[in-house]
Amino acid sequence: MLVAALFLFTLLLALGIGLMSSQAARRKAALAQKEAIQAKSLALSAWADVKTKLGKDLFFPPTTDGQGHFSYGEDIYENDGAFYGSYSVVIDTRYVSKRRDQGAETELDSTANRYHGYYLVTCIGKVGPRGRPPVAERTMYFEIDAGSFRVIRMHDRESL
Amino acid sequence: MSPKRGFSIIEITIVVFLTSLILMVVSRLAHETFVSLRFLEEKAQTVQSATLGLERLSSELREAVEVNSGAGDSLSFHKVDPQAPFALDYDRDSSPNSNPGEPTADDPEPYLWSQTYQRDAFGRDQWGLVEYFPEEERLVRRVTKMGRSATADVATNVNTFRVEPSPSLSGQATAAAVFRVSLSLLEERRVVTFSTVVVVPGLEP
Repeated sequence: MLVAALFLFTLLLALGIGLMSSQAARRKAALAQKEAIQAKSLALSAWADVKTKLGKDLFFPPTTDGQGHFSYGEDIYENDGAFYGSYSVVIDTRYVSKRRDQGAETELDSTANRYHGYYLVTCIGKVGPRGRPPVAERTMYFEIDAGSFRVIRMHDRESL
Repeated sequence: MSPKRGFSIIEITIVVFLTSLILMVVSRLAHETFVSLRFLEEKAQTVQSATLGLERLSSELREAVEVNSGAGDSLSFHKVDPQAPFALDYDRDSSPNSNPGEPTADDPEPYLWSQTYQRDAFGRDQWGLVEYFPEEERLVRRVTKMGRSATADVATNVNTFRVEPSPSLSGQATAAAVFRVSLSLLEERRVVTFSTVVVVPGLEP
């Protein structure tokens, strides 16, 4: 009787432990998925931010001679003020130049410069505590026509 | 002479009866647990299949530069090959050796650059055609580029697949670059629907 009781106890214990550990792994996977989605949302926020700046600010991105890149970032905090993650934007301005309007596209005798070439924009969303490797990261790369700000190529580089 | 000690037949019968009862209850509990576990695993598998499928689809749709068919039960769009070299045909000279690599910072002449990746300096179309469509309870992805195509399953147990351009969200109309993608999966005897909204930067004005 005692042996049967012990056997039953062991069996139930093993079943219980197996069930608990499988649920724990599932919970961990669900949490990781949530963080990956947050990182994607941060990268998309970065894109929305840079797109607005490009469309609204005539002097964005600010560049000086010899400067080929411009970057900036924003920190994201929880409602209680705790640091949650960040997004950053890197704009490669090396392939953009200004030229006067000319030829068939000239509107009157314009003295205004027109932007030509591509902006290469990399938007990175990161989730995780500051000063440590990110828990989740998502990178999106955009090639934008400097004149019309139209996206001519976009590559979602997925997450780490 | 003392009488021999032991269990009477009634005692043994009661013990066997009680043990059987306990084992029956325990086995029933274990069976229920396993059924629940199997159900949860199938549910998790369904959710994972739908999540991964939709995530892959939305991630790829976001890369679109032209949507051919973005309504109904199939989706077809063009995207630029991520492996295509940067700034194709930047001097608009179609001779094969005219664009050996990326333009240099010294002489980019970006006003001459092509504003599309549809045709490179070597006459190659760097746009790939991507299609998503349901087929025999599967969501299939087919990509075609330069005459070659590859097909892969994105999700299984698919009941319906719907794409809706410019959906109305909270009563507000959305732009042409917005798509709602819905994927219904069969789970046991139920149909579970997953939905996502994708904004395509390449279609934005």
